[in-house]
Amino acid sequence: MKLFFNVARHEYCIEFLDENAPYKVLIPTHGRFFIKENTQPLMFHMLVGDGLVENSLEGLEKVGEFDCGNCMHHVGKTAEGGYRMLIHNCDGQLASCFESNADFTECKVSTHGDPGIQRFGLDNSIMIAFAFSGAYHNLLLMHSSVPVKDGYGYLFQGKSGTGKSTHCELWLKHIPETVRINDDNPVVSILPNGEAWVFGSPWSGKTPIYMNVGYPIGGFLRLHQAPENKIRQLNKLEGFASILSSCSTMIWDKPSYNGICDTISKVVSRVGCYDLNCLPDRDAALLSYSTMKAALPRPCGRGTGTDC
Amino acid sequence: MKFKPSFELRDVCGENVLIANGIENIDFGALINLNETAADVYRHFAGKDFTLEEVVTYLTGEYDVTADQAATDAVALFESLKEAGVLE
Repeated sequence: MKLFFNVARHEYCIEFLDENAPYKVLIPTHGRFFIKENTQPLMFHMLVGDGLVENSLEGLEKVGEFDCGNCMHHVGKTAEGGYRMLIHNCDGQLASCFESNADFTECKVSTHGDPGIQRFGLDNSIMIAFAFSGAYHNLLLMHSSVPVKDGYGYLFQGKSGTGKSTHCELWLKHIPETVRINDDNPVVSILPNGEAWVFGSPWSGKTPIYMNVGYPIGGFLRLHQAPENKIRQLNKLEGFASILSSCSTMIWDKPSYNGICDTISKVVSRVGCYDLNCLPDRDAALLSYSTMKAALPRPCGRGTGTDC
Repeated sequence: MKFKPSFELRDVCGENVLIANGIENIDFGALINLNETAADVYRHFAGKDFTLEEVVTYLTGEYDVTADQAATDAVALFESLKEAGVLE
């Protein structure tokens, strides 16, 4: 069973070996991104089935073990230059075994555990395939919370627990006609016309907001908890470093890392990046909004998507 | 001495920036901004074993600078690159 999806205007295929695979249970957050047939070259193809990928890195060149917050990845490099990753949940249970070719265009996945754990494993595998095949397509999978106001999307960045979601909620509460399109992993894209846009995705962390929409980016805002509210525009190099630290990257994989760095260079040459020291209060929201808005040309109202 | 191979010199919006990209730099969060001359030296000597004398010879040949000044500047550059973990 082949299912096609379109995220950030790029299409991919998830193919289940089992014709009766419970895909609505396994990838429930993909619903709004489903397309009946694909209309452009696929960014990646992923085959999903039991026994496709070995549950071991034996015989592979070990890359390392990486704690990704809510999961642990054991990564090995295959003889063909691709990767095998064993993905465990935060309880240490094996959720999926993922294998790709060098540029992540062809992937296969075997899931493990009960349906909830399998869902976690498959979701993480699709994120990995998207982030690293997307590195060759001017795409960034970022860690941020995204409100949209007057046709512009803003990316709130910061380490877990800094208050991205809280600051986003302050915008929703105090700035009229603001909506949140994603709360964890939006996609940034340089469009063919050179504009930098942000898109919703099937990945939104603890807040279930899976909107299939896209908007021009109004600004990047890195949050820091502080005793007073203060905002500063970053220079381009600081902006580059700030965005890079919020992107999904594999520092050891040169081609994808180069692609991601190239995309970030394009982004920072087009969009303003800011640092906000802030309290979790109304004034912080008004300060960040008014500062970033003042640097924009005009309200644009050019967002697109089935959820607009 | 030589530059570690796990760094790449990139143009980021017109700035010369050394970015770490190897597995040994998994926790290396810094970007190193080089001026034009330092970037020139990096490009010329990347991948080679070199001595301070060779760098001084290169600088005095390429730039209007005395050997003493070139040596002072090169030592300062290498000290900061060593501290940043770029030089071995």
